[in-house]
Amino acid sequence: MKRLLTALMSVVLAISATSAWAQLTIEISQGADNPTAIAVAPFAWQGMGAPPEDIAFIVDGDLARSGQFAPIAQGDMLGNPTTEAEVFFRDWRALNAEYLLIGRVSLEPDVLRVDYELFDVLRQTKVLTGYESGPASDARMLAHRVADAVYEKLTGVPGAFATKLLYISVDRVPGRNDYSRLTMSDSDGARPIVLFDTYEPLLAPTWSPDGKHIAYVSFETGRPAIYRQEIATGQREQLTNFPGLNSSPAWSPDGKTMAMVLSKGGNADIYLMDLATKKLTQLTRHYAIDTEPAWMPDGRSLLFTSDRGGKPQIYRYDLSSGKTSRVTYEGTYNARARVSQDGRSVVMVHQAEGRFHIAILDLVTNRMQILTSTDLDESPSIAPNGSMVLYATKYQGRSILAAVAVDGEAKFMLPASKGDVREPAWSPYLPR
Amino acid sequence: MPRIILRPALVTLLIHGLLLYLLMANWETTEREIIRVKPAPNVINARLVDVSDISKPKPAPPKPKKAAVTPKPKPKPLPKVVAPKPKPEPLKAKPTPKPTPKPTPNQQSSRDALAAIVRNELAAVESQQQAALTEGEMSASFVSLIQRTVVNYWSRPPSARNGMECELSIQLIPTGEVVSVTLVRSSGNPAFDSSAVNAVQKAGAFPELQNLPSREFEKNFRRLTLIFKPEDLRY
Repeated sequence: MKRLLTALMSVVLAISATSAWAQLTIEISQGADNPTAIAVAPFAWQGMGAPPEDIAFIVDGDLARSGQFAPIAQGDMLGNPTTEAEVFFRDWRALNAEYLLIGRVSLEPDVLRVDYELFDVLRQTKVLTGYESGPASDARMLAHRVADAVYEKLTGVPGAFATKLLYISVDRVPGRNDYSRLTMSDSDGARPIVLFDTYEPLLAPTWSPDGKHIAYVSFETGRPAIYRQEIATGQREQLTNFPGLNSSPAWSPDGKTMAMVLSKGGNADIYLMDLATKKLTQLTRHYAIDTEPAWMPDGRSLLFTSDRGGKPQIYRYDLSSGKTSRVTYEGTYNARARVSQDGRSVVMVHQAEGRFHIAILDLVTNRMQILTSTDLDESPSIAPNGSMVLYATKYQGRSILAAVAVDGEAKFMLPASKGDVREPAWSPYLPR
Repeated sequence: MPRIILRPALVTLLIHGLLLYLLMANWETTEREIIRVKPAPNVINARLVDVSDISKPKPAPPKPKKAAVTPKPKPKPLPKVVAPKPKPEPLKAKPTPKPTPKPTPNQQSSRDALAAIVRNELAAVESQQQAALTEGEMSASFVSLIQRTVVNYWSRPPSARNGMECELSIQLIPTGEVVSVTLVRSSGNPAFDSSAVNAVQKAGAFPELQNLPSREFEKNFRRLTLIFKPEDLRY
């Protein structure tokens, strides 16, 4: 009996040992992060005459420039579906497309409507349906909003294509001063509109947090002064007229205060102006030059550039304590900080080996990463979704605008007709 | 009860109990074996070695642009990401300003000879290892293969953060084809979850699994759990 039982027990153990289904678990802790292949099929046009814009082309361009997507060329497409019934997933799988965007554009009197549907080719399901509508003159903006929706659905981050850029373009004029224009364009550089022009220098354009006003420095009176301008009406207001420097305006996140640099005390320091009362408060008092203020998104502190340590570096001024602390230590030159909306990353001009690059500093890990490989890069400005950095650089002897993804992977140049283009400022998210 | 009945009755009871236990216990995952293959096992590493690299001269140390540059100690050394500069590092020797001499044709040919020797040795080691592969080692190398394939297809969205985690259950057939992918546990970020599912869908199949003995396939590879948990993102 006993022997029998032991024999049985050992059989039990043997069976359970070999057949205990220990399900294998594999951990994946790295990725290749290649751009996602997406096909943007040409949108159907349901209206009279020619469509105002090629919506699919604009969406395609937006997604490609982000570096997150690799759009499939229209010439390679095996079909041109514009409705769900016309979608054959096999065709798109054959092109290695992961996603497919189709759409239709219709024009009812004065209202352009763009309907779109996004499909997951691998799982053969529809993942997003939506539409945008507005005046036909705003067709490009509608296309950018479609790109924003697709971007947000697939990346988990809001898109920043339906935003604007502000920059200064300068043309050489023989026998006269340079002709400066304050220009606003779409985020892809298209549709430039001149907001102000003068034969005196223009500098430091910046946006109000609601995207309705801009501020800049103009030398139109013969010396620098800070102006505020309403975009819709073009109405201007001169905010400062102090002797010496009046520069680097920066709106506080609540829109009520403007930080600026004045040298009326004999030396460049950071001041705050209450925009309702025009009352000034001096923040920094140091014999060194303090300049280029940039607000942290919580409005509780500002970053600025100072050479108080001998070389220009980024410092932080805390508004509640009035204390200043140094932010950058790496490299001999760090200047003109701009902060991402999440308050985590700071982009700046960083000098390495005698060349000026754009670098990004992670405020939590203190890791500094150089983003650009060109020289003489300046004036970085970060997209409201934190994905791209716009900056000015030199190309074939001219000043141009370029953009780079914050991971440094994607880069592109913005088209510029002629002359020099400088000091770009990426708008916040704009009201509809 | 007579003994003649009791004994078989006991045995029958035991056998039935045992069968019942096996039926109940074995169809559920009772225990999970997490395999983290990094670095990949030797078997795989040996096969991956690109011998042509060995013949190449080692990269010369970064040549300082100006010989006169005196490296200054930094006030606070921060982790450096890009742009190696000639600055003193406590552990590394200072790069010599002289560039390493370029290999002469003679040296090059001796390098080629060396490469050939190394290649032969590697092949020998590899075949030995292949012969000596135990089932466990084989499994481990296939796990590593699946892992590397999925890594190559995984494109994390910009909203992905280190520490996010989602779990997929995948089913394979003996040809190595993926027949189903199910999200078992979400990371809370739909774009992140989709990127993980797409990585497996894009991989589509692991045809090398055909070489696995069917017993081993059934035991470990018909159903797999994949945990996606990035550790290499910016933050």
